[in-house]
Amino acid sequence: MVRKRIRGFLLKHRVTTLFRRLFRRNCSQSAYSRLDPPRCNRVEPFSKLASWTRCLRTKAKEILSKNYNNSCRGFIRVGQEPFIEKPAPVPKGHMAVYVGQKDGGDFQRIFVPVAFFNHPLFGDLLKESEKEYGFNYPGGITIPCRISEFERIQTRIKSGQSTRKLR
Amino acid sequence: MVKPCWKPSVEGDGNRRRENGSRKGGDLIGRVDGLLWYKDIGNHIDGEFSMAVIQANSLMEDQSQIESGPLSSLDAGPCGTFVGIYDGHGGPETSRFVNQSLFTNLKKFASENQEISANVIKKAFLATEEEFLSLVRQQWSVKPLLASVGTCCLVGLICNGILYIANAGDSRVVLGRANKTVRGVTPVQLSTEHNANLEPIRDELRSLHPDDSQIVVLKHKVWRVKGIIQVSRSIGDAYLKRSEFNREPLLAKFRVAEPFHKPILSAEPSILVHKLQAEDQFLVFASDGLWEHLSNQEAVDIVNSYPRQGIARRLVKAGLRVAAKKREMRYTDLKKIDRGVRRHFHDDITVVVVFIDQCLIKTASSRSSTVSIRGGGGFP
Repeated sequence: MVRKRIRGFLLKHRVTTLFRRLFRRNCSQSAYSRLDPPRCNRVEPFSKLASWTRCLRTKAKEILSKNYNNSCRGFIRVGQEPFIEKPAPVPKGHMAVYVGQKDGGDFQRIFVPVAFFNHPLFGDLLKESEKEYGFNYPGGITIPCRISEFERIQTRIKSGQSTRKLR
Repeated sequence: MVKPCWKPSVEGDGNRRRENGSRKGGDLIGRVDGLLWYKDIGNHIDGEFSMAVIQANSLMEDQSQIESGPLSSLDAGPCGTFVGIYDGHGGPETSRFVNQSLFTNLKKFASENQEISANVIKKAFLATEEEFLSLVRQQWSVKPLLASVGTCCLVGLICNGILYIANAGDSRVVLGRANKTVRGVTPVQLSTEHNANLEPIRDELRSLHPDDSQIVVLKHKVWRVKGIIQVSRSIGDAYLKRSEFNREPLLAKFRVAEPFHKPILSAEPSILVHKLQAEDQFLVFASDGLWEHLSNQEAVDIVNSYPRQGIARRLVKAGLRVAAKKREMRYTDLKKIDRGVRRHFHDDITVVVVFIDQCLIKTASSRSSTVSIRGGGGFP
């Protein structure tokens, strides 16, 4: 995670400086005919490049905030993304579980700290899973449960409550 | 004459024991590391063996044993190596029972017949079944649940250069046979699983129960006998063998709805007799927990490419790595998960690798030592 964050910053800086350099070159109108000179002259190159930079910056921020969430909240929500194409790699100490209800549409892929699995509250969820799907099904652990409910249980486990007042 | 073959490994064993300064009983009874039990290497009278067990259920349902030495109570009786893999279901009681009594029964029949034969092994299976069913009858009023417990039963026996494989259930044994043309080892599966997911098994069940259209049922994409159980042969499962146990006080969820007159499951093993060849190098016995993650080829390749010492443990690890990957986690994280919850990731896994060292087989009269080891020593 940490490594990724560093990489993100580096990339951002690199891109910004690169674009700044390009812009300066365009401004000084040096002999860079190869770098699409007509366009440079016609459109305001500064605003365009600046917007690209801004775009990159926000994207980088998004990635970082995901990492931030991950370290703080214990999981990342990536359910909206079509995970079939490219599932996000599972961070160390975590595993991917699929949470949702059969009739309630799609399952969300959620990263859960492995330590939660040994918690009795999580054990109840796993019992539901066993009832519904048994033990031998392909893919990640699937939990038949509403997302809101699942998040509530996670919060509870995190806060160290073990009182069995579920549902 | 046998000594050259024996010595190095025996010495190695002793050194290791001293180095690790292990707990009481040393390496002789195996070691425990969390949910893993293992005996990295040992000697049987026809070569070496390696054994490993990992627990997933909150109560260990897999049981296993290796016995090497005299196979009867007679002084001049047959000698050999006996391997048993007992994969229990519904509880640990039947597999534990079989672990205690099957080999004793085998010795009894071997003494009576003064030899080892397919018939002797079959008799031992059926006698063990009878003993367990009488235990169920005896406990019926206090522990009716015992009628719903059963076990798969895979036995391998090497005696005078002949290999006997007897199987009832869905454990599997694979022979690693040296292949000179590809300079590798070819897997030869010696047992067939009695699992309703296999078409020949469904056909067999349908022909045995022509009047019952519901003998095999597809439920949640899995074929089950009477919609209840995947295996078609087992020891125990009294409620599927005798009508007298398919009633109260056994809970309704463990019963078959309609009465039956013919046993639904059978305890009779399928038996294969094979004369060992010079190319036959090793046998990999394992409960289905391993085979759902590793193919026969993968298993023999691992055994062929790594040192013998700890090879069973390596196979278990390889299986667990696949299991972790399937559940989208790391192997190191899987190890943190407690027994019971573990069952969501993999089943109990038992692996016994038996190396067949030809130089020892030829002098099989050597009665040097008796080995008797049970897998999973002190597991709950």
